Amino acid sequence: MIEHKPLYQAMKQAASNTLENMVFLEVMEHYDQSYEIPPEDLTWASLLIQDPVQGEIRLAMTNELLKKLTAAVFSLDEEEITQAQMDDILQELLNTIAGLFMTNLLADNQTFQLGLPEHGEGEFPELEPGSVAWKLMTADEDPLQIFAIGAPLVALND
Amino acid sequence: MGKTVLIVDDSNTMRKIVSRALRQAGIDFDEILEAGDGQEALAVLGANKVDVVLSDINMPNMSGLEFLKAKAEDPAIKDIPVVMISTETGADIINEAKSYGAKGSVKKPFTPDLINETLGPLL
Repeated sequence: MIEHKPLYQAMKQAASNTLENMVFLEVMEHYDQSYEIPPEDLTWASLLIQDPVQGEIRLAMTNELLKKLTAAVFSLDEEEITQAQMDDILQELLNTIAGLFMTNLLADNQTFQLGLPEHGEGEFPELEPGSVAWKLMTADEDPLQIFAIGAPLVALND
Repeated sequence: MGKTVLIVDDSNTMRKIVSRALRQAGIDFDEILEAGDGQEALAVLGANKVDVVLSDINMPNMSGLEFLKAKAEDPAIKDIPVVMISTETGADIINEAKSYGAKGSVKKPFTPDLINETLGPLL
């Protein structure tokens, strides 16, 4: 029997579990919940939730953190890694976090369908009212943020 | 004697992460082979002696389920055990994979312990 968690805990657990198991990164809530990653340092990816409700999940972090994670996964120096490797890591993390989030949130064995993760281009799009943000950081205080967007998705909290 | 495992995933990153989990799982693998989709995986199985396959489900060109179907039709490779790796946990897709011969499944994100528990009995 899977314990059904409220939305916030479902995502927090999904992010912690994914980051710890895939990239050995421990995350906690950011000490400053008003903190925003400066746009010039920001890299992000987006994924659509297609079924049983429609919504979007975005994962954002600093370029510096993504570079560190990519170098660790590929066992390379930061100077050797490529943009494609960085994009791939960000998208795989988002895909896994979103899958685990939906598993945590939905009833036992309820199926769900995710779209393909896409690397965000350009400026970070404005969030819809009612979106939920998870502002996290690593032990080195590198910020990392996750957003759930779309009323039907956020309503799964109820 | 060490074993040979084939990792099938369209993501280079996931192949690296799975490969690292396999090394940490404590199973004695001589060789870890990689393929980017089902079609490539069939070619690798045709050219190498592989003991077990870990395969993603959603892949371009040839998906994990199509790979299982094609493998089941080739007498030379049909008995090589395959474990599916998936983000989705829907019972339907896992049951479908098992009906085509998959021996089990692991859900991302997985730990080396889970890999060991799932692959160990197949080797």
